[in-house]
Amino acid sequence: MFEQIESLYGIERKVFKEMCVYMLGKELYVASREACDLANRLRYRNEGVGIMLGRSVMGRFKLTTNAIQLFGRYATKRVVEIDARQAIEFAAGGIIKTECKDEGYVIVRCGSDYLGCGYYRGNGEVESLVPKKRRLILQKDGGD
Amino acid sequence: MFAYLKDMKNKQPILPAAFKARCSKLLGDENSAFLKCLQRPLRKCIRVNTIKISVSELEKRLPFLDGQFEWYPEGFFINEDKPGKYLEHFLGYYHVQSAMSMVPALILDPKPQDIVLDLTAAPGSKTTQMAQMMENKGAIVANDVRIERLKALKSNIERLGVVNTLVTRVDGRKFRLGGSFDKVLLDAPCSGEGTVRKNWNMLSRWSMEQIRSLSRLQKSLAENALLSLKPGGVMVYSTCTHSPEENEGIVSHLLERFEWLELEGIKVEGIKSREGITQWEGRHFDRRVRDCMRIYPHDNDTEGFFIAKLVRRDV
Repeated sequence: MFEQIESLYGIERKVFKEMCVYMLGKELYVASREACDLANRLRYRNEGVGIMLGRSVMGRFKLTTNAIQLFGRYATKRVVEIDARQAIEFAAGGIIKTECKDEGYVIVRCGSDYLGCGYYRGNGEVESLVPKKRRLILQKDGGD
Repeated sequence: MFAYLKDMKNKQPILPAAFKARCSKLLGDENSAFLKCLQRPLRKCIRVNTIKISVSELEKRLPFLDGQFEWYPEGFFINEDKPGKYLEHFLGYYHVQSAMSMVPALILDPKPQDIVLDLTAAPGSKTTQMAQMMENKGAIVANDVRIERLKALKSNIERLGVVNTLVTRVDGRKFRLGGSFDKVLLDAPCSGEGTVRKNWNMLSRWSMEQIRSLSRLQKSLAENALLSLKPGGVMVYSTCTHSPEENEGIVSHLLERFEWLELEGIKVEGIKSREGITQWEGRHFDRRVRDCMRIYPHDNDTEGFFIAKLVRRDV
C-alpha cells in the first residue's frame, strides 16, 4: 500500500515513520504508535484507532478526505489546484470544471488548503468525493 | 440580530421553583445576578485546532472572531450563529466549543508522551482538545457508552485529524485497565444546570431524584476512573452543573474512600472562580474540597462549571 501511495501521490513513507499504519480488511489506517500499542493491550473491542488513510478501489488507492486534509501537503503528484469559489463547491460535494493531466483519483487543493479526494474522468471535470455527511452545507440554515 | 437570538427573544429559560430555591441557598445575595444572567443566551466560542493550523493563520482568515480568551490563546468568542457553514470548519481548522468546557483539559495538562483516559468522551470536544495539546502523539482512550454519541465523537476525531485516539464503547463503571493511565479526564454526566444559557429547556426534566441518581452514577464512575490511574497520575473531575451533590459531594466521597488521594488547588489566571463549598443542606464535606473550582455563569459571562484536580499519591 505504501508503494501505491508513494507512486500515485508522491507521499513518501517517511511521512508516517513516527506513526503506526495498519490494515483492517481492505482499508488502511494511521494512528499514533502509543494508541496502537494500547489497543493491543486493551481487552475491549475498539471502535476505531486513529483515522482511515484510504483503501484500494479496483486496484487503485483512494485516499480519504480526512487523510488528504492531514497529509495532502506531502503529495507531489495528482494534485489539482482550484480557486476559492470552486473550493466551496467542492467541499459541498459539487463537480468542478478544471483540467487535470491525471485520470482517476486526485488530491484537490486551494492554495495551502487540502480539501479532499476528487475523481477526474478526463472530461474537464473533477467530481468531489467528499462523503455526504462530511460535506459543507451551503444553505442559509446550515452549520452547527 | 442572529437567528438563534431572535428565536430566544420572547422565550424564557425553564427554571423549576425547587431549582431556584436551591440556587438562592447556594448563592445568597448573588442569586439575582445569577438568575438574570441565565436569561441571556450563551456567547458562542471556537477552539483553533492547532493540529491543522496555527492560531495566527486562522485569525487572519475568520471574519467572525470577537475576542481571544485571555487565559487560552486557542479559544475565541465569535459573533456568528452558524460557525459550521465555513470552509475552515469543513477543513477542521476549528471546533465549536463553549468557553468553560475548555478548562478541564487545561487543568489536566496532558503531554505528548502521556497515556490518557477520557472515560465519558462523547462528543469529543475535550478529547480533541487534549489531542492537540499532546501534538497528536501519545494515546487517548476515548470511551463512551452511548452509541449515538460515539458517532459524533468519531466524526469530530476524523474532521479534526486526530490520530492518537482509540475509541471504545464500555460502561465507564466497568472499564478495567487498572493502573495504566498517566492522566484521566472524567467529565461526568450531570444535571447540566450550568448549561441553561445554551439550552433553555435543559432543566425541563430537572428533579432532586435525577440529581440523586446522577450522583450515584458519578461516584461509581469516579471511583473506577481513579483506579485506572498509575501511581502519581492525575485525574480531573468536572461537571457542567452547580449542585453540590454532584460536585463537592463526589470529591469529598473520593477523599474519604481513598487515603492515597490528594486534591490539588487550581487557579486559571483570567477566569473568575470560587472555591468549593464545605457544607450543604446539613451535610459537611471534607474541608479539602475548598480546593475545587466552582464557576458560575455570571462570573465570566459564560456557562457554569465545576472542576477538581485529584492526584494519586501512592507509590
